[in-house]
Amino acid sequence: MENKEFDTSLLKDKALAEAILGKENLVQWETQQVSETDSFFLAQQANILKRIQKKKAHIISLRNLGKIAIAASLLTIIATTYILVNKPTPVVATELVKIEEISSDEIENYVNANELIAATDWSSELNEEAAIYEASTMSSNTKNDSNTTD
Amino acid sequence: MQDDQTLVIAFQASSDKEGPFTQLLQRHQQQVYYQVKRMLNNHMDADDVAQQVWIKVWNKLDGFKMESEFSTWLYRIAYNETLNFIQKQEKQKNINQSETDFDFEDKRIGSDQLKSSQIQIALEQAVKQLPEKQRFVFMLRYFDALNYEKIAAITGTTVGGAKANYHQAIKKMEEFLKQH
Repeated sequence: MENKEFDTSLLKDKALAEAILGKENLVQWETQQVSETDSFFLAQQANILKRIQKKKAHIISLRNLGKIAIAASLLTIIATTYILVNKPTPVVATELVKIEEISSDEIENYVNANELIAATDWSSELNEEAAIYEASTMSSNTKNDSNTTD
Repeated sequence: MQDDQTLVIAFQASSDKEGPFTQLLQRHQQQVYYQVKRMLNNHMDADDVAQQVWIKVWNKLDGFKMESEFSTWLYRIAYNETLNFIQKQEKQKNINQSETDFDFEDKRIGSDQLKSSQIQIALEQAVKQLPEKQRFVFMLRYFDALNYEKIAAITGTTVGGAKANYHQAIKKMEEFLKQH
């Protein structure tokens, strides 16, 4: 039923066009349009499939390149972090110098140059040291005295 | 013989897509080509556009959700590609400007089709002066005998719009033929 309706409406539409434009003209025009041979369509089909193959190959190679690029960047990151983490601390060459080898002038210059040490009040330091020494000797003497009296 | 839907499912599901694609291509190749050729009226251009349509189908078929028939979807792609081609051609025409381009077009038509009569030429001109949508609707209805639902889906319009386009196309062609 639906098909019949569809057919009649299509036939009506076609009849309208043919009445105005001429059925023969339309048929002739269509014959000119629909004129390709089977070999043309075979060639077109081959072309389309060839283009698709090319595209596929291109995509695959891009995918592979992508994987390689990811692997390369990961390797670079790992290598750089490894180098940075294991960077050897610079070894400062130190020579052992004996105090006897240093001249008193050099020591004096060093002390003068160093503010903290230079600011030290050496006399009071010595006095303090002396007082401690005295106190210790005094206590040992009193101990000896008490031993002898016993 | 498998129907379009089965072939689309096979394409989407399998890793070997070429088999089902080739079957779809063989089934619809001629209709796509002639649909484009009727619009462009030129063999070489129609061949280029038709090939482009199938490349697009290959690229997009995985995402086709089968909300419409495969053929509707396919002819819609063909319709859009043809319109894009016409627009590009028109832009190119504007850049190149009239005289040389006009000569070229005349030669192209002349070599591509052998005109049998003045009426044929007039008819061709009448078809050519139609707006793209009306031309497409007329071709799909008259030569491909598609129903208006399908034509509406292909051209992105309503059924009423498609019917109106068909009748307007005939009216415009009639007026053109009367004048020439």
